[in-house]
Amino acid sequence: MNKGCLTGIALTAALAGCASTPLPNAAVENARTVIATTEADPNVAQYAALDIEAARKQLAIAESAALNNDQESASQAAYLASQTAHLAELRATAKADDAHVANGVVERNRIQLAARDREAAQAQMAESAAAARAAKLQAEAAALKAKSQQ
Amino acid sequence: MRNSKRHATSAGLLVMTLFAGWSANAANQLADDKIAVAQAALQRAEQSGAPQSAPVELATARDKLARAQKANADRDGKTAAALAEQANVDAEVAEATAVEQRSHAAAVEFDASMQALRNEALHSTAPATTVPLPAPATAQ
Repeated sequence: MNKGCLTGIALTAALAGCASTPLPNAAVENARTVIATTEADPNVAQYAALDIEAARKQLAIAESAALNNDQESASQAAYLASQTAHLAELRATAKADDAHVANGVVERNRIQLAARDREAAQAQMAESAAAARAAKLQAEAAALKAKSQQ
Repeated sequence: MRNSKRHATSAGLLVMTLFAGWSANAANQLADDKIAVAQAALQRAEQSGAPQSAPVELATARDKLARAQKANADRDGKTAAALAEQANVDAEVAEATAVEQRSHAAAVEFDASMQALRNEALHSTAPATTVPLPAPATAQ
């Protein structure tokens, strides 16, 4: 009698537990972690805001399905959420690399322009130095000539 | 009275059959659409260099698309739609992996060329004496 009563209580408790607390879903847990990691990357907010937003929406769908113990829908939405977050990360990294190159091109043009200016200035200096030397030699030659004629 | 009851029953059955047919059709239409979207994503991934950059993701996407098509042929629209959704996102990840690898390689190459340019600029700003001008011919 006592044993039967206890079994009854245990069964009721187990049933109540089933009804109120949803089973943990590994895919949903994983999606939550992936999205949190992706959100921590500043490039994602700057370059893939729409993708990470889509991932968050899928995660919300997964969480709501898990709450209703619809494990199949929860796992499906969680998978889509994780992959969309992965997509956000990849696209953000690619765009950050592209921006790095685009900014670098401006810097490169500046360096190349400065180098050309410097080369032109050096050529100008060399030219005037040569002209000065030529004038000096000419003057010396003229002086020698004048001396020999005396 | 009995006749009208029988009529009501058959009308109900007809409605139920129609509804079942309609919802099965709707599920198949949804699966067809999702399969078409996944096929397009796979094609883009295959043309973007994913076969070299992300062969594993691409193979997963292809496998899921094939399973989606099989489920659709077996009139399991729900499974087909779910697999097609996964195939689509897997193909997008494969494509994005290829794009990201290209961008990364371009950035690395650019950084190397910039470093070379900076080194060059550093050397040419050194005093002109390091690049001696041709000495004037000495009188014999």
